[in-house]
Amino acid sequence: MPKVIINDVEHEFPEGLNLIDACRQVGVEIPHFCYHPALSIAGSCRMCQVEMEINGRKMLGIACNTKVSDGLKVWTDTPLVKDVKWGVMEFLLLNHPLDCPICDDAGECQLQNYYMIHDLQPSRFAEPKKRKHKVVDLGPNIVLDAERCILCSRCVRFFKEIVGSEQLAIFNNGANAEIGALPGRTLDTQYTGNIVDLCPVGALTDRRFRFQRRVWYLEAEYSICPGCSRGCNIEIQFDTHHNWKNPRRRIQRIKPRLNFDVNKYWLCDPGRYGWDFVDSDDRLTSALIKTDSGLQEIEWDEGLRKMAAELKKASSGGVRNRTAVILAPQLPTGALYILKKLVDKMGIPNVDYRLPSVQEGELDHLLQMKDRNPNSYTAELVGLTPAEGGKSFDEIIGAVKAGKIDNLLAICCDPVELLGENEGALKKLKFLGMMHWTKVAGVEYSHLTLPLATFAETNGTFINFQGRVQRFSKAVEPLGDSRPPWQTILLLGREMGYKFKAFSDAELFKEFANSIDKYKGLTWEKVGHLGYQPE
Amino acid sequence: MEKLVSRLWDVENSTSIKTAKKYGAYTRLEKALKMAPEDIIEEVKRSNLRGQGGAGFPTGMKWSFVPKESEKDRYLCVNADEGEPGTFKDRQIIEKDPHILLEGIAITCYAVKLPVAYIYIRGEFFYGKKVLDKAIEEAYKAGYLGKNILGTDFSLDVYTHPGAGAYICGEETSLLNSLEGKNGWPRIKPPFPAVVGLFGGPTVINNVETISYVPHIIERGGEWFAAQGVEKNGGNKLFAVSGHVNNPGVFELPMGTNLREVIFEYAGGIRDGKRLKAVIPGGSSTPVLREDEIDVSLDFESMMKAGTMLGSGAVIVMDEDTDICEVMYITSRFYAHESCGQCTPCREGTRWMHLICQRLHKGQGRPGDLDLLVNIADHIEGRTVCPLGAAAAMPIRGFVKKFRDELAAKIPSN
Repeated sequence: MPKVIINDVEHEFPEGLNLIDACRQVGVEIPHFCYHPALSIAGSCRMCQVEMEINGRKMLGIACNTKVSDGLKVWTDTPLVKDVKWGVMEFLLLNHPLDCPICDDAGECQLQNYYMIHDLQPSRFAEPKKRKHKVVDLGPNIVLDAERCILCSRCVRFFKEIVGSEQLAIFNNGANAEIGALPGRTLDTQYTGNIVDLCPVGALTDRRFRFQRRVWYLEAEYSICPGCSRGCNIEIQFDTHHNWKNPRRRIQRIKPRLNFDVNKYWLCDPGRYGWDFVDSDDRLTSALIKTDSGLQEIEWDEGLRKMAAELKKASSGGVRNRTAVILAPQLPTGALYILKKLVDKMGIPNVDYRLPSVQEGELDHLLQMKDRNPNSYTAELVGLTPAEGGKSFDEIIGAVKAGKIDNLLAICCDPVELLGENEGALKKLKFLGMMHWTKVAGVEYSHLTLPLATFAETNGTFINFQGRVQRFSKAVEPLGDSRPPWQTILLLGREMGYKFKAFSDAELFKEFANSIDKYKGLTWEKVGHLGYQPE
Repeated sequence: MEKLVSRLWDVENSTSIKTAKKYGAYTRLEKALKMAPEDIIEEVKRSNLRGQGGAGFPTGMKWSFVPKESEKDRYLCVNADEGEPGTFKDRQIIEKDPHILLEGIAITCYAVKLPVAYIYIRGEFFYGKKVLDKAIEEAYKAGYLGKNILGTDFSLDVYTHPGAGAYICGEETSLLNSLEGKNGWPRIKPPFPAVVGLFGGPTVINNVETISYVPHIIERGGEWFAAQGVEKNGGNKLFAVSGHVNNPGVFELPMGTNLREVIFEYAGGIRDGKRLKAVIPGGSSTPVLREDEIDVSLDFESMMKAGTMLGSGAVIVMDEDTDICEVMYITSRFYAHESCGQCTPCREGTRWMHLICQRLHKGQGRPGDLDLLVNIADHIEGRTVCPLGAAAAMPIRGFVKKFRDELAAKIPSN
């Protein structure tokens, strides 16, 4: 194990470790812009220069292009290194526009941070600044401000190396150098949002976040993306105090959380920008009943009682074979677990979670899975599939079209979308009940609809396609009358007369975990922030 | 002093292989092919041959860094970019005696086991490339290039590849990127080209003049070559003298010749009876020398000791009527234009220095400008990806140091 002396203190590191990462491990921060552990070494920003002694030779060198080696000596804070840092910062700020008052990045900008920590010198530049393109359209997600760009080339390298598709390049030479998309194109991959995370300054901005909120107003809660079965670790960043312009917009943006076993540093665009539905005007915020004069809002308790009564009828002796339950596996684990208990108690044989959106395999080579649901693994484990002799999903849909199903409960899915051109068959149903968070087209046909709280509004767990249990935390309050899914289903069951004891998602999860060998003994607390992967 | 690389320059039809062979062309290749490759490398090491592109790295040592075996393909790149302002010596070799270069390439490639050579020739040398291409064709026809040269196992293919006008592509790693079809941006070192070079394989990059001495080292031996020069600097050097002299031109002289001798004997002294004011000794990247500092030996070590550099040996002579501020302005403009923009200090610093030099030249200088220039230069040199930053910084610092009073006089007093 190589022994390295950093600032006159000896440390031992594993072979092949990058010097910047090594120093960080022992609490020494070497400032850098172009270095990123997931990308190739550019060595162009020159901010990470330190004094080094290798094989008796003392020199100034970039830490990012240096691996730990036995006998290496490093000094990160000598007068020379300080002068180097002042010099580089002065050069970077030379033509950098004084945009802080209007720049998204203020508060999390590396240029600002390093200036405060490593510089604090006045600039001596008294010449005309170099002007570059200010508001460059780089597609639906990204707006580029080329003037703020410090040409660290992280974005260029990201597309080339991680996505495998060269989308950005640096044009012109010398002080005229500018980032831009290849001629005649805009960014067209599904991973564009990551370059906003990578950009150390405010050159690359999220179109949806541009000018929306000052970052120091943001609160954060850790969560899991519900977009597909990968279960990328995310952070929901929200603000509910400065919403005078748009009170409904609580979630401001989603950022990836570092998890080397799931998504590393990255997030796909559908996941990163797919939180609109949480704060959308389309949210179901109260129980709805279908009357002759259209849909009417009713008290949640009344809705629950009415739904319970209908379902009790639908599960009686001769009727239950003509009753079906279809669901998209987007509910948290606790909810799916109690749902299975409920359909078993009701004795309904026609149950299936395997909607068309549930598919096997990878959608792309990076993160996205073909299964657009976060919890199929749980639905399968728990057994939300047809009982002996029961109808599978395709058979249920066929039976609805043929008028052979009288009662349908649709959870987190849209019967109109699933029936397609046979939408009219929904009118033949004696009872259609729905539970969802969004007012989808099917709600117009639904006799009784109960509003659900989204993943951002409740605690819960998802199990990803690898069997990894990952937990997420409540960030904002459920809108209106919407309730956590586990609560809605559990109270429904109690209303129907079934004895369900546990009364929290954590208790339900514990029960579920103990019923599966590989998760025995697992609790909400034990899962932790980075998930639990059984052997 | 014996002329080595410039022997044929006054001979009629010197570019034809027939004429070249009359003067011994390719006999040295014959001799080399009978030697062991390792012995050739030792001979070149013994000769103290230094790189003639400007950096002066010992050639034999560079060759010995190449691993004996490699999985990836191995290459020789001949740097015929000749971009350093004031330098026009490689051009003479290319246009007047291409076969000495080709012979040197063949011997080098045999010694270091490189089956392919690319001559990266400056795009502006349109005529030179034509001459070179014709010479290559002649050499192939005569069996000195191509498969199984002179009946041995050694095969070599030589190609010319034109540049597109960038000074930075004379820097060895930029040259590699340009050859590969990418942006002409320098690469960070390590890894070094001898191990990871063109297309990722071991590569030797040498200047035209350097390679052209190799046949003579084979012919007369490394010790003889070393003795022609001075300690650690073997053989001769081509000096391209331009500026306010009576007899500008390219002169082949032994390493260690005195600069005063070059200017006043070989170049005929200052024209129009004027007095000497300043000399840039090795191309625009080297710090200027005043007229009282020209008694210096033209070899790499002595020039460093004198606070400047031998560089490419491009001697630019300036007489008493020269406006040093204008020279500084033009120099800064060149580097600001040629900076590739990859790394922070050079990208921002060269433009900044140029803007200050521009103001000084226009008479709009401010107090503190000169110290600021020196400090900017200090913040660039040694802190960049490639030596272009240093090449921009050193001349500016040199002008301010040696001609401070003249420059300060241009700043209007408040």
